[in-house]
Amino acid sequence: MLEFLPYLTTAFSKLFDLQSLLLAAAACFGGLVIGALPGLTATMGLALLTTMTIHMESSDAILVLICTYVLAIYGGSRSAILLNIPGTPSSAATALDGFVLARQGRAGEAMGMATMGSVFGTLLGIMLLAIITPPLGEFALSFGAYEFFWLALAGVMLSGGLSGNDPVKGWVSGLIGLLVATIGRESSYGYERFVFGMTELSAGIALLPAMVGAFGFAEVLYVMRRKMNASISDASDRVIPRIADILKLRWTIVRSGILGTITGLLPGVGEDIGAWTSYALAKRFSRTPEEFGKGSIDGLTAAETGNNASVPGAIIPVLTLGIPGSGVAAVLMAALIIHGAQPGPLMMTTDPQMIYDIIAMLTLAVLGILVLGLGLTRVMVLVLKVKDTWLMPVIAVLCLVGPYAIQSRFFDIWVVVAFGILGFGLRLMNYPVAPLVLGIVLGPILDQNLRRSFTLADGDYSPFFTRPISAVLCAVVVLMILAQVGPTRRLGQNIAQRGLRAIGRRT
Amino acid sequence: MLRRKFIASAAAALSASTLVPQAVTAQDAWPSEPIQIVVPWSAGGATDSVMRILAGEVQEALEVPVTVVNQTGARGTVGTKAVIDAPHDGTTWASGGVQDLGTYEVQGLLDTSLEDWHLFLVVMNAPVLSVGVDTEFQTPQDVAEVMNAEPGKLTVGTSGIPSTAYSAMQAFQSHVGGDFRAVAYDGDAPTMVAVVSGEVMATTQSGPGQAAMIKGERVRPLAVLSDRELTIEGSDPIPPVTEFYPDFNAPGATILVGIFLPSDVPQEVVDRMGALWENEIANSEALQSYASENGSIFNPIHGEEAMDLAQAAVAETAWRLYDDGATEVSPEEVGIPRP
Amino acid sequence: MTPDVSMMRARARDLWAGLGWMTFGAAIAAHATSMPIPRHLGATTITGPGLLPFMLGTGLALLGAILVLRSVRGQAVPGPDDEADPATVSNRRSFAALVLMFGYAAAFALRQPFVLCTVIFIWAFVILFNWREAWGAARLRLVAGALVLALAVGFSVEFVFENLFYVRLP
Repeated sequence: MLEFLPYLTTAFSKLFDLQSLLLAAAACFGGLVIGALPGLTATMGLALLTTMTIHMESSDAILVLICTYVLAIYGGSRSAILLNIPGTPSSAATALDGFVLARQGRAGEAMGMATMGSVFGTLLGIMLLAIITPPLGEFALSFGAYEFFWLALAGVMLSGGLSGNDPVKGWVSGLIGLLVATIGRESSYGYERFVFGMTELSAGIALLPAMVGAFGFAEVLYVMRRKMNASISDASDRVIPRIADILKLRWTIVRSGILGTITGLLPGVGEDIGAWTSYALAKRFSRTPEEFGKGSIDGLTAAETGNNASVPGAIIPVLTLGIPGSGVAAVLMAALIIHGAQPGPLMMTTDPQMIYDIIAMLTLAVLGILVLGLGLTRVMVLVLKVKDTWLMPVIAVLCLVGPYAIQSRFFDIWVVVAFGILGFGLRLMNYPVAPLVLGIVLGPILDQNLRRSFTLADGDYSPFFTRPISAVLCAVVVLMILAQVGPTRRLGQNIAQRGLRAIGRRT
Repeated sequence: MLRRKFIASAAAALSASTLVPQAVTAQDAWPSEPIQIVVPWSAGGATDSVMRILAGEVQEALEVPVTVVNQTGARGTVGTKAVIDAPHDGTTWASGGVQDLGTYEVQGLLDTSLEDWHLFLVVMNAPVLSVGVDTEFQTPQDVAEVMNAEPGKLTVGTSGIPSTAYSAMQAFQSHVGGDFRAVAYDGDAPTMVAVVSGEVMATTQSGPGQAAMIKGERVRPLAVLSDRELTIEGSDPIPPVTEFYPDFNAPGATILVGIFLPSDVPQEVVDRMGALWENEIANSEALQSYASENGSIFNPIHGEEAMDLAQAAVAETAWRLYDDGATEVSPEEVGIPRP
Repeated sequence: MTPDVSMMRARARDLWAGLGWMTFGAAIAAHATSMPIPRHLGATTITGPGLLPFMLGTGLALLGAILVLRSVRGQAVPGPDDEADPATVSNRRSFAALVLMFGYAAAFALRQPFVLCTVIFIWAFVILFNWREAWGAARLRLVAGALVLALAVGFSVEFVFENLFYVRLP
């Protein structure tokens, strides 16, 4: 039962040297700034940092990325509260109550509780990660080609269906991502698809340049479209929360933490949805639901706990299945692969230490939230005053140099530009970009496992529907589609509402 | 030493000299600049891990920084082409398997042949016929029996069709008869997952790709598809297939891994490299222990010796591909005679 | 922006985008059917390389058709951009940024000297977007400040990538 302890102590002791701690501190601060600045989202920041840490020692690079990931998701709450602009998309739910609180002169209180929510959310997520990952890894071995096909399909569909407010557009975005993944020489028979005689294309579109383009380059264009910087709220009240206030919200925190982790675990459904579902559930359970949106500390804490709990949640399927739980986790997975780790069902056999290293790194990041989140309020107010017009050209430079640095290929610069323009266009037309990225990641998995299934099936297609996990995943996909068709959608809404009412009555 | 270098380069960077493109100048003692090893496969793979160890050894011996760059894609041609396009000054090295390099031309992938390169080999990776621990196969004969009794029933996981593992399985099939069903996976790790989970019955991936699973006793190795026994430290020796089928001969199936320099690099570079291979690399403990722990065979040769071995392996591989209809050009046309 | 106007905008966009996706998807599906099936390597129609592109193309065309149908029937889901106030955004600013960034990317990809290009790019970018808001002495400060930022970024990026990571920049 306790065989994991030596791994865990090794993992922690590796982190306790000056260099690792300094790196972690720098990464935590960088993540906080990336998360807080409205022009820098967590996905973009992580993609950029992956390109910049590619030549570092792999354990250092992964430490930097994990700390940045956690703090960036947390940092989004700062600008949500002080500027009413979610600094990273997962803080959108935080802005609803946070900004109202800030205008009431309670910005410090809001930031303090957001910090505590993130701390406890991440901790709960880490605990679940430590408990779920090892057995899930063995269980994941029963995932064969059929299951991976359905899982990849469900991932793209869930992400497309939940990322924006229009599933049709989300799915279009996901399909384009899948199509992008088919470009180049496919690995089964070595046939070149959609290459049209261009040698460079036969290697396919690399994930990171495409990602930095779709999130970074496009974001610069999108930010420059805005004419003015938002004005910042004053934050001079007490930041450090009282223990009693935290204890009052203990059930909100536990509920949101568990829900957030589970949301993160689902393929393709990440931190954004983690925050929204936690927020909605907290509202459902609250004695004063009418306060939600009008400055509810309860709602704010739920949202912040939910999005941070999704971070460890989204890492679980990366480690056990090799399928990312969110767009940001997709970047992290790409980085792990580049650094020689092989995320997948055999990770517990081949590299169990890696799983505990990641747990230790996440724990260090929680410390980062606590120290930087409660300590650096003044500095962060200054950071938020940086003007877009001075920051964006620097980001643009990094967006082009970073992806080039991975493989030293000039072609990748054009990939950044092309995906930047594509991502910008899609955003202008209200298509979410996250499904596009997930599609690029899951495309090869979908393609190979579908065809592999056909090879293994040898004419008998029933395993697609009769193997137990296949059947469940297939049902998810079918439900996703039915939820969009008129009559079945209304039926589903009825059932959901009745169910939630029943839960509400019982408490 | 590294620190002083930073300061020196910072000073150089601050001077305006970097505002003009740096011309390739004649160096007094090669190498004076950092060396880049271009690995055409992804990080964490068999080629990548051996190249990273090699990089450490070379860095120590030549006293310049040596970095590994993964330029993946299109079956290794992207990385190889990048080396061809880079200045041929000895600071950019190609790497990978000789069989890939030598058959790019017949496969219509890239216009290059063995004779365009100086070969500096490091290790050999032999394919290992392994089966899942839940299967009933105990010897290669058992496998052959199923292939003949029920052609197409045996599922074999390989990293792509065509690939070196696929060729190895074909060599086995053409020797014992019958038929198998190839299932393509994306590299070593996913293939091994499929064997361990029982999705496919067997695999012929190379030794390093299987080492962790063989040591962990999660797959059962039946035979090495070559004429030499293979010992992975920490587990029993794996018998050569010739112990069961004495006439089996497929030199192409054992992949020769090394680094390649364009043949028109300065003679000074070739001489220094030759000395490096004979003195430091041949005696490298790091590489030897890597090989014995990971199911590789240490093979530090260069020059004519390497070229002869490589030509034999390439000829066999190229003709096998051609006979299977997997190539666009006949090996004869590009000067590879039938062995 | 009133709901009616944003609805109209969303409908018009959906109609054209839907038609575009239909054409694009159909073209991909058609192209996919022409991909060869390597039967001599054991492939069949449903394991060949064209299978997934065909399915994806068909799916894209279907989703496009749904967007068109929905729009014709007077339905659409307005997104954040349909609801944005046109006074706060300007596509001309994005276009100007794109021109600058494209120029910089092209210079980089065509192997022009890295530091020089970067300095010019950042300097021009900062000045272009701040020029109108600065007057007199502030303009002078702007020009100088932008140059300081540009030089700092140019040299530090070059230093970090070339000397710490050994990446060869042009």
